[in-house]
Amino acid sequence: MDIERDLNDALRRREAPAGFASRVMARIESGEADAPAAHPERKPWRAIAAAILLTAVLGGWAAHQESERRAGERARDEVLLALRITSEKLHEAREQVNEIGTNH
Amino acid sequence: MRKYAFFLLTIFLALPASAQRINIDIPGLAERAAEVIDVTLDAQMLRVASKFFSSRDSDRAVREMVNGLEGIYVRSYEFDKVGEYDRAIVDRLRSQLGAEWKKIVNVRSRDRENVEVFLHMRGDAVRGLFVISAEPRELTIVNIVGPIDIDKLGSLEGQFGIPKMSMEKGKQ
Amino acid sequence: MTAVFTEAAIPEGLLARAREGDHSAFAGIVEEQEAMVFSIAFHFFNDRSRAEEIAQDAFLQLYRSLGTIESESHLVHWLRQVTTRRCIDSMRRTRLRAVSIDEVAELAGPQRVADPLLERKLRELVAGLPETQRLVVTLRYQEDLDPAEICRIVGLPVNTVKSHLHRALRALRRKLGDQ
Repeated sequence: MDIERDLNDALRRREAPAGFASRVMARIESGEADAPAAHPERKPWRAIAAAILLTAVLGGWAAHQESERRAGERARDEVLLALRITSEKLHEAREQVNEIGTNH
Repeated sequence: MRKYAFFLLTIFLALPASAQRINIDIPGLAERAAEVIDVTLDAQMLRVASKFFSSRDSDRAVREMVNGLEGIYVRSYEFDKVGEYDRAIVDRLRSQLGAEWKKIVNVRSRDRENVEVFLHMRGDAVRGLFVISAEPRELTIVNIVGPIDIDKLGSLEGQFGIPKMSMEKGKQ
Repeated sequence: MTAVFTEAAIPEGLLARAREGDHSAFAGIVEEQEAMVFSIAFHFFNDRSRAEEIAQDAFLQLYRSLGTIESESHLVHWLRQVTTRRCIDSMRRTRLRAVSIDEVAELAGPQRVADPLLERKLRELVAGLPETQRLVVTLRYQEDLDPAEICRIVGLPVNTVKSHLHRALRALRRKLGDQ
C-alpha cells in the first residue's frame, strides 16, 4: 500500500456545497462584511449572471464529454465497487460472529 | 376470462425477477447525508460493464459472476452526526422481503454496526442477496439480483481490494 | 461525490477589480478558491456543515482585507493561512476533544487505490489526528505543498513540520498495517 498516494486520493479537493459562492455574496450584500477600502460599487446581478453562465457552460461541456467508452469503464468500476462493498460487509458480519463465538 | 388468465400469467412470469429486486431508494436521505455512494446497474449496464473486464484470470472471474446477474444496487450513506437517519428505515426495508428471503446472518452490536444478510432461495439455488449494514453514522444497503455464487464471491477475495472472507452457506 | 481539481489560477485583473469594489470580480475569486478553502476545513473536521461555516467566514475576512492583498499568489497563501487558523480557533473555541488515532474505527481488509470506502476511512483517520498533524497532512496531500511552504502557513519551523508529517504518516501506516 502506498499511503502517500492514498492520502492524495482521499484528501483531494472537494467541491464546495452547491450555492456556496451565492451564500457568501449574500452575506456581503447584507452588509455583514465591511466594504473594502475603495469604491464599494455593488453590482450583484453581474455575480449572479456569471454564476449562471459558468454553470451552463460547465454543464454543457460535461454532458458533451460523455462517451460510450467512459460509460463502460464507469460501469466496470461500479461493479468492482459494489462487489467490494458487499464483500466487506459480509466480511465484517463474519468477524463479529466470530468475536461473539469467541466470547461465549 | 382468458384476458384475466393472461394477465395473471404475465404477473407470474414477471414475479421471479421483481421478487429479488428490493426498493432501496429512501426519499430525502441522500440530501441529509454528507457522502453518498450510489451504484445502480441493471442487466443492460452489467452486460456493458462485462465487456470492459480483461481476459486476465482475475477479471474473468468477475465477468463470469456478473454475466448471470440481473442487477446490482448499492446505496451507502455517510452522515456528519449520529442519529441523522431514522432507524425505522431498516424495518421498512426488511418488510419488503417475502418468504423466499432467508436471513443467514443477523449481527447486532450496541457500539458497532448491525448487519443483516438475506439470501433469496429457490430450492438450493441462491437467486438474490440483500445486505443491510446500519452504523451510527453510516447506512449501507446492497441488493444483488440474480444467481449469485457465494463461493465465487469468496474466490474474488484479495483481488480489487476485496477483503478475504469465507461465508458458510446456510449458517444462521 | 468528489471531483478532481487542478490548481485554480485567478484570472488576470480579477483581484484588481475586486479591490475596486466590483462584486462580480469578488464572486469570481470565491468560485475559483472555494474548493480549496472548503476542503481544508472539511478535511480538518470531516464535517461538511462546519467546513462551510469556516469557509464562508474566511471569504468574508478576505473581503474585508482585500486592501492588504498584494498579488494573486499572496491571495492563495493568505486564504490557506486564514483557513487553517480558523480551523484551529474553531476547534479550541468549542473545546472539542482531540480523538486519539487509536480510538478511531478500525479499517477493514486490504484496500484498493481510489476506492471511495478507503477514502472515507482515511479521512476519518486524518480527522482523528492531533490538530497540527491534521493541518500539516491536509496541506501536504490536499494542496501538495512541501514542508517549506507549509511552515510559512502554520508558523512552525520547517523541521517541526517535517517531524509532524513523519509522525502522522507513521501513525496512519501503523493503523493501516494492523488490518
